[in-house]
Amino acid sequence: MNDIEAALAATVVADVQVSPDGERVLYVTSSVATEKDTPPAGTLGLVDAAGGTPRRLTSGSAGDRWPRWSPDGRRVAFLSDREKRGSAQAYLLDLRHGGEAVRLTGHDGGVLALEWSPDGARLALLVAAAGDEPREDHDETVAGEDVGKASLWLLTVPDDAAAGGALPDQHRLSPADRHVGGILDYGPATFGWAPSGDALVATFTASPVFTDQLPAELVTIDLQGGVRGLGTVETFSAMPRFGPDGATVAVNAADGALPALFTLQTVPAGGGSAQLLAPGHPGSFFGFSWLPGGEILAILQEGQQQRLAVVDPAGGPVRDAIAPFDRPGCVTAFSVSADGRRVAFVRADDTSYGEVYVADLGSDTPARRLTDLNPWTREQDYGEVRELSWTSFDGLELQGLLVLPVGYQKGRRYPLLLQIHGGPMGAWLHELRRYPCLDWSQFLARRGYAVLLPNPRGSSGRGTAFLSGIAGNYGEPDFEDLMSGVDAAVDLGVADPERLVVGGWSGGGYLTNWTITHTDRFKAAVSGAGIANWVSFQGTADCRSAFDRYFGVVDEDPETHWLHSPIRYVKAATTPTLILYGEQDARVPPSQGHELHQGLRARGVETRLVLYPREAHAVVERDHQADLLYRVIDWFDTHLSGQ
Amino acid sequence: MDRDIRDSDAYRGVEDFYRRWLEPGFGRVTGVADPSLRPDGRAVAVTGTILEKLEGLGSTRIAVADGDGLRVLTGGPGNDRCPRWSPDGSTLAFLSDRADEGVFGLYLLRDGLGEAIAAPRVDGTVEYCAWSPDGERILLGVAGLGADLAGGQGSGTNSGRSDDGPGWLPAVEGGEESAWRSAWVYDVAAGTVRRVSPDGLNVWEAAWLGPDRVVAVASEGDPGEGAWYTAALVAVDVTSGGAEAVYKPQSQLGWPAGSPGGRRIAVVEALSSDRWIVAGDLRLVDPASGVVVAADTGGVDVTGLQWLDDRRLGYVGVRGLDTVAGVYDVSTGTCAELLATDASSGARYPDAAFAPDGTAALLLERYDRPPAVTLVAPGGATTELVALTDPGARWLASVAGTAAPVSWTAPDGLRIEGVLCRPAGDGPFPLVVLVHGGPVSAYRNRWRMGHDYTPLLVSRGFAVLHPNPRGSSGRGQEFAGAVYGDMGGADTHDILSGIDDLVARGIADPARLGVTGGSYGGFMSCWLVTQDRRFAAAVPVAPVTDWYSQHLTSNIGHFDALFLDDDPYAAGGRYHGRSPVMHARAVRTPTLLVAGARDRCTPPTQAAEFHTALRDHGVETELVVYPEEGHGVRRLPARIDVATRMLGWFERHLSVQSGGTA
Repeated sequence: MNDIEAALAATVVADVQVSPDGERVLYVTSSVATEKDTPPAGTLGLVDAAGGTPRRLTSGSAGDRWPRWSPDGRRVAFLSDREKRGSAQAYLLDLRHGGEAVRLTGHDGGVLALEWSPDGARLALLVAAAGDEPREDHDETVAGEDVGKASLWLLTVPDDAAAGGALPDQHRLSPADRHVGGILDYGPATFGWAPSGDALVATFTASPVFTDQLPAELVTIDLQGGVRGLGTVETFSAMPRFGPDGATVAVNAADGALPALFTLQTVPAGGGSAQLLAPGHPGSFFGFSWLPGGEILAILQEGQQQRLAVVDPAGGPVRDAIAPFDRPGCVTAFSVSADGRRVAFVRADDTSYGEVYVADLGSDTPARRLTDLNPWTREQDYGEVRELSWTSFDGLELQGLLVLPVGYQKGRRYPLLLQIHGGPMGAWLHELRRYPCLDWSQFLARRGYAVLLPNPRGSSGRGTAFLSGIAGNYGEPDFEDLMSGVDAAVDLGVADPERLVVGGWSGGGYLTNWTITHTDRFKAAVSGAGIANWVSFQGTADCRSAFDRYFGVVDEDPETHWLHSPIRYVKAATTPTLILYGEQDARVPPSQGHELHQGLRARGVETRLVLYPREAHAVVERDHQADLLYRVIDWFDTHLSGQ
Repeated sequence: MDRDIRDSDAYRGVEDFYRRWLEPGFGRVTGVADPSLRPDGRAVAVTGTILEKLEGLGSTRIAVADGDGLRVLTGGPGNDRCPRWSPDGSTLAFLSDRADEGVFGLYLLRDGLGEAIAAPRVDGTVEYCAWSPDGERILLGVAGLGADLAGGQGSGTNSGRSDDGPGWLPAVEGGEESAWRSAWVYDVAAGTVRRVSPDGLNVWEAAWLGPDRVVAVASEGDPGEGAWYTAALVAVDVTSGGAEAVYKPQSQLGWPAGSPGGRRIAVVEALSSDRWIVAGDLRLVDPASGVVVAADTGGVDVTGLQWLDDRRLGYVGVRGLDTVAGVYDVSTGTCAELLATDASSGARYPDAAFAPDGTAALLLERYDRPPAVTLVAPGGATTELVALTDPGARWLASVAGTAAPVSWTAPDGLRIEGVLCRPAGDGPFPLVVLVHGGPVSAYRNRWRMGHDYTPLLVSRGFAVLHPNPRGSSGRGQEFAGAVYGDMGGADTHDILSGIDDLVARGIADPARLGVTGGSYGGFMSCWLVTQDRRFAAAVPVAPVTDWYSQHLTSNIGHFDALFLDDDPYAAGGRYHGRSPVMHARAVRTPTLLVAGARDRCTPPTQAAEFHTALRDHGVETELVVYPEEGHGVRRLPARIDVATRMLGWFERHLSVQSGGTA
C-alpha cells in the first residue's frame, strides 16, 4: 500500500460527545473516502474518559452519526441510514438494558439532526423534505420550485421503546414556508433548547439553497409553534444556543455581514440588539458551547492553530480553556459535561487526522488521548511543517505553513508547490485534512517537493478586518500576498525559483486561475473547481449572495466582476494547466472549467479538463480521490522534468 | 372461485378474523422460538416474531425475558435469529441477514452494551451457531447459496436471488455447483472465520465435541436433500480438518451433542420423514471406541439435547401428547424428569434450553394460551417470565373453542390419540379432520394447534380432529415404524376409526365430514377420499398424489423409497397401489387442491395430477397454486387467501352457514 492508498484508508472522527457526567465519551468515526454509489458509512464509538479500550457502540455497516446523550446519560439518540442508505432516521439506544437501537422516526426525506430537551422527555428533530415521487407523465423540473424545505419537529420519547409498537408521537413545529437548517451539504445548522424546555432557538431561511442563506432570521419558537424574530444574522453555521439563564442567545456569525465572519455574539432572547463578544480579537471563533456559569467555551483559530478558549460575555479577556499542547494542532470538535468541568474534543496535528481527547477545564494536567484511530501514520514519513511569515507589498505581515520535503537538506533548493486554500475565508492549519485530495502537501513532500500553504488576507484566523481585506478586490491583494510568500520561500533558500508550480481547489482554484493569467513564473498549474468568470458564475452558481459581499450585485456592478475574472486575461496565460471538477458541483459549476479550458486551448496553452462523475464540490469517492492525487503529482512531475 | 377474491365478502370476513387476531400485536413480539438460557439460569434469549402489517412473514428479532418483561435486543433491518449465550453469559451470539437479505451471518452483542458487531462473512448463509465449551470459538453451520431447504423449513432453496446473472441463465441440477453445507469456526479473540469440515463432506447438522472437535450428522459425496436419510455421525478435528465416521445408524440422526470434555456424543436416532423433524431414541456414542449405548429416557421420544457438564445431559421430548424435559445422568444411566406437562413448548417438537445448574427454559403454550417463557428449576418449580398475551391473542382464544385429548381404538386394537378442538355446545358438529405431515410428526396441545385453520374453523362452528395415527412420534420407534412400508395402510384406518368414534359419541355429524392437511397430511386427504366416500369435501395442501412422479421430481425421493419400502421402478407394488391418482375413479368428494410453486419437497405437479385425475372422472375440483410459496402457505396475505378458500369449500360442501361467530 503506497501513501495515497494508505491515506485514503484513514479513519476520521467528526463528532465527539461527552456523557453528562463526564465519565464516557461517544464519537463518530468514518472513512476519508466513500465507495461508488454508496453513501458514507459511520460508526459510533464509546470510550471511558479515564482511558481504556474503545469499543464500537453501533454495528457500523451503514451511516451512524449525530449521537446525543439523554440528559440523564442513560440513553443515546442518534441518526442512522441503516434501513435505507442515504436517508437517516432517528434511533434510540438504551444503555441501561443493552441491546440494539430502536427506530423512532419514519420520515420520507430522513432526519438531519436532533437535540434532547433538557428534561429528556422530548427530541427536537430537523427533518428533511421528502422528495417528490417521480412522475411518468411529467419529468421536467421547475427551477427553484422543487426544492424542499427542512423543518423542525418535536418527538415525545417513549420510556420503553424496546417494547416495540408504533413510532412515537411527533409533529411539525416550524412553519411550512420556512426552511430550517441552513446549507444542508455543509452539515445542517444546529438549533438549541431553552433551559426551561419550553422553546427552541434556530435560524429560518426561505429555502435550503445557498444563496438564500444570507442573511438568515434568528428566531425562537415555542412548543406551540409561536415564532419570535430576533433579527437577522449572516453566517454559514449560526449554531444558536440559549445561555444558562435562558435570557440570552449566542450565535456564531459575521460582525454585520460577510466577509467579517466567525465572531461570537449574544442577543437578548426577548429581542434587542446583538452584542459582539471579544470585539477586535485577532482570531476566528467556530463551534461554541455555554458553560453553566455563563461563560462560553469556543474553538478559537489564531493563525494556523485552533484551540479551546473561554470567552467571557461580560467582557473579560479570552483565555485558554485547558492546558496547552506541546505540538501545534487544531481542535475541530468538542463537547462539555453537564457541570462544565470536563471537555472531550477532537484534535488533529501535522501528522494526525484527529484523535479524541479529554481534559478538565482550567486544569494544568495535559489532556488525555483516548483513541488511536490511525496507528499506521506512525510508519509514514511526513515532511516537517514550519510556520512561515513574510511581509506583503503593502507591509502587511502574513503567515502560512511551509512543508519541507521528506529528507530535507538545508542549503539545497527544491521544487515548490504553492497550494492555495479556498473559501476565500478558509485557512491552512496544522492538521491532516479530512479529504486527502484537497491537501496535496505531504504527498508532494514525499516526492521531493517543498509546499507553501499560505493564509493570505481574506483567510480566517486573524480577525474580521483581515477577512474583509479582499472585499471589492478579491484576487488582487491576496495574489500579491501569495507571490510575496513564494518570494519568501525562495529567499529562505528552500524553493528553487525555476521549479515553481501552483494549484488549489475552489477559491484556491480561482486564485490559481488568476495566477496563471498574471504571471508566467509557474511551470505547471492544477486548478480545481475554480472560478474563471465571475459574471457567468453569478448566473450559474448556487451561492450568488456570498460573492455579492465581495464584488457587489452583479447586474449593478458587472465591471467589477469582469475585472476580477481570470478569463478576461486568458490571452496572457502560458502555464500548462490541469483543470479538475466534480460533474455535479452546484457551488462552482463545471461550466467555469469549460470556459477556462476553451480559453487556454484557443491560446495554444497545454491543458486538460477532467470531470469526476457523481461528485459535487468535494471529490469524495475513493477511486476519484486516488485518481485526482495521481493526476496532480503526474502533472507537476511531468512539467518539471521536461525542462 | 375467482383468482382474485379480495373484494368478496368471504375474503373480507376472513381478513377481519386475521385483523382482530393479529393487529393488536403489531410491532410487538407475538411468537417466540429457539430459546437459549443464560448460564446463570436467569434470562432467556429467544427468536421473537414481530408482525407490523398483514403482509409477508413478519420479521424476527432477538428478545430477552428476564423477569422484567420481554425486551427486544436487536434492531434489524432484516431478520435476526438463533440467539446463543456465551458460556460466561457476557455475550449473545445470533444470526442476522441485515447486511444482505436472505444471507445470514454471525453477530455478537457483547457485555449488554451497544449494538451487535458482525463477524466476517462466510461463503454462504449461516443456518445455526454454537459456542465452544471454552467460549473461545463459535461453530457455524453454513449452507452454500442455492442449497435446498428442508420441507420443514418451507422447502425451496435458501437463496432465490435473480441478480446472480441474466434471467435466461438455466437452472442446472447435478452439475458441479450444487450447494454444499459445511462447518465453519469463528475465533472470538482473533475475529476470524474459517471452514473446518473437509471438501466432499456435506454437514447437515453439527455441534461441539470438546473444545477442538465437532460432531456432525453428515453425508459423504452428495449435498442433495435425499442424502440426509442415510447420513452418518462424523467427528471432525477443527485444527486438522480430519473427519472420521463414528457411527452409522439404522435410521435417521438428529440433535448431535458432544460432551464439554469431548468424550461422549449424545444423538437421537429415529425413523424420520423430514430433516429437522427428528424424535426418537437417545444414543450415547463413545467417539474413541465407537461403542454405542441406547439410553432409556422413560418412553420419551427425544427432540432436543444439551450437556450440562460431562456427566449430565439435558433432554426434552414428547411422550404421548405430553412434553417432557429432564436430565439424564450418564454415570448412573438414570433420568430425572423436571417437567412433564400436557402443554407444549416449541413448534414442531418440544424445544428447551438448559443452564449448568439444571434449570430449564421452555416456551410453554396451550391451545387457548399463547407461549409463555417459563423457567423450570431443578426441583421442578416453574416461574413464568413473560407470556405473549396481547388483546389479539385473547380475542383469538375467545373464539377458538376448546381443545381436549381424545383417544379411540383402531380396527386392529391399537389405541390411537388425538386432540379435538370444538365450539361450545353439544353437537353434532360438522367435522374437519386435519391430518399432520410427516408421516413422522405429532400433534400436541399447542397454541391454536400451530395452524390458522383450526381456530378459524372452530370459530365458524366446525369441530376439528387432530389425530396422531401410527407413524406419529411420541410413542416410541415401534409406533412410528408402523407406518414404514405401509403408508396409506393401517394409518388410514386409525383416522377413519377416529371419525367413527366421534360420530358414535354424537360429536361429529356423519353427513358433514371434511378432511384437510399438508404434506403427508395432503397425501392422506387425497388418499382418504379414494378410500371412503363419506367425506363431503377435501382440501389437500402440498400433497403427494402419485408416488412414481413424487420420487422422480421431489428433492427427497429417498424418503418415499424408504417409507414405502418398495422399488419405484418395479411394476405395480405400493408405488402404484398407494398413489391416490390411481384410485381417482373411486372419488366422489369435491376436492380443492392447494400447492406452492416453489415447493421442491412435494412439487406442485403432485396437486396438479390429482386435480387432472378428478376432472377426468367428473369430480368437482379446483387447483390453487401460490407462486411465491413453497411447502405450505406461510406468507400473508396468501395465508388469508388460502384460509378463505378452504373455509368457503368446507362451508359450501358441508352446508355450514357462513358468517359464524367470528
